Amino acid sequence: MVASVTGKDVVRRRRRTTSAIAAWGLLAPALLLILLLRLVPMLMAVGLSFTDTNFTSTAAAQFVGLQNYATVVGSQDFQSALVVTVAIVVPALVLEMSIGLAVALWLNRPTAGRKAARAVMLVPYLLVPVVIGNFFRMFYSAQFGQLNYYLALLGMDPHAWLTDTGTVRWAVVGMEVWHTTPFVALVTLAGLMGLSKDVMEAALVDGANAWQRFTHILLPALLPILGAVLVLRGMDAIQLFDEVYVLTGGGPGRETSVINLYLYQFGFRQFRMGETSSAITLIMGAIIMVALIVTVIRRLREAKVVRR
Amino acid sequence: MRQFLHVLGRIGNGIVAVLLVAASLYPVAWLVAISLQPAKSAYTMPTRWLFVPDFSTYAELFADPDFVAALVNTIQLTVFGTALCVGLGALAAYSLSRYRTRWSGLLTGSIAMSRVVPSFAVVLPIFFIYRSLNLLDSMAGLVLALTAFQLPLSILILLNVMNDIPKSIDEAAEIDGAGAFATFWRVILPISRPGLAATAVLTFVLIWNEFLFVLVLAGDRLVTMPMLISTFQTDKQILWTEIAASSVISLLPVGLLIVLAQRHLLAGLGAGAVRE
Repeated sequence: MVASVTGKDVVRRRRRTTSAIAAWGLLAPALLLILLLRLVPMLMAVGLSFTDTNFTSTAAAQFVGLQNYATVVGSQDFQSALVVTVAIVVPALVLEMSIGLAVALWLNRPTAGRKAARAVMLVPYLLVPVVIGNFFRMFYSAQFGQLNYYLALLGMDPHAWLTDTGTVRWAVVGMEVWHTTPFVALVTLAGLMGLSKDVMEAALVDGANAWQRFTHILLPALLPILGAVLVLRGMDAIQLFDEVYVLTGGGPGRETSVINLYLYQFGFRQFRMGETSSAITLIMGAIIMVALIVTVIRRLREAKVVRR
Repeated sequence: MRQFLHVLGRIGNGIVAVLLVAASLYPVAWLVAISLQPAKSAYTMPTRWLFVPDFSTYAELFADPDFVAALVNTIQLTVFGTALCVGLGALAAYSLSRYRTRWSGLLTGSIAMSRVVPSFAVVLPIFFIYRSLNLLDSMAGLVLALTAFQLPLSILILLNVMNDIPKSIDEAAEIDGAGAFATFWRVILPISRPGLAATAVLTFVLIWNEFLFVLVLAGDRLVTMPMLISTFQTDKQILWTEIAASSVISLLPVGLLIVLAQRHLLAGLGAGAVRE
């Protein structure tokens, strides 16, 4: 009796040990990679931000405290990179979210072409970004650009879209909206198709018109999905790089030098690792704060829904 | 009147449909058209859509060792990176889904959170590390860096898929005498096939398109297609037919996936967006 109990115990304990080994063994390769090539670099950036590390000098790095942060925050390039990023990302997000929602609503009907439309919309979103930048560079070209050609057909004068400081950011916004609206439309459409039919039918019986159905029933039901899409697109948009690197190279002047371009040109090309690291740390800190706030808001809202 | 409105509505829908398709496909159509015409055609307005195709640009590209090297490098990088992301991602997801330790929740949360760290915060310090390890411009270094960057998304997609598989299936397999590995290999993996496909196609496209990592961590001796395409454009001249032809070639695998694996691509996008 006693022996059998101990035997069971041993088996159970052995199973628990093997399962712990299995758990960590299966995780180890992925975890190790993420740790070494995602977490360590991140922490390294934080560490380097307090030193005067510089690629060109061979002297050992010195601890300089918050000096890099003062330099970066005071630097016009950094400030302009933040302004430029907001000036491009905010209009782009507003446009792609509204156009994307409209396209999703339009496609959310039993039409024969829906499947084809989804395939077609995958093209802009999955196209190689460098190719997109190249295409739009030609598209916007003052002399040989197709945009000016089509506008001339409508009787409008040609315009140097990429060298005029008044239009170049809008040119980037236009490119981004073309590139990413399909993502918003496709994910929102998937959400719409997942909504229950009962809700829609109930609204119809009560004699609601199309607009009331949209604002009172569809939009509230879609909000969680739209919120998730916005967060994801926002995270992606602040990392804008490839297309702008090819389209304008950040110019004219620093007019389209978004955060990533600024970091590349200022930090990487000029080898100022310490200062760049403090810029990275500041931006990363801001992003993580926003992400945490979003997570907390979502948790609170979920908790509220459950309580109801 | 009613019928008139109906007809009007149909015409309106038709116009929207045509606009949507035209706007989405115009750049690709233009690039294909330019790549098959003589160099000066890029500067001719209006664009000629009817012409006798001239494949000489493609022939020149495939005769150019730099282009062939870039193409081979991109294929290698994408295949290795995708395989690692799917393989290691599946193992990690299986562990997080089936072997719950007190760390599982925290680990899953951290992996989800790590996706908000922008690429630049990662890639510049990696440049620093790789320079001292002599890993710059190496295929192994690039594959590992990109795998690490894409792994969190793979793990999260696969974790959602595996969490949806009822535990009773594992138990049934165990009663039938299957060990942990057999359960994973013979039971869980086959059921997760759609999730594996979604992860694979999405990762494939993301690595195939990658530019920033290659620009910073390689690009001198090791060049990929996006990198090569960006170098056809210098201050002195823009080689439009070369850009167009190499763009078309680099779009081919993505286009093939859109045609053949549309369902999996959509599932991958949706999984990345909605379920976090």
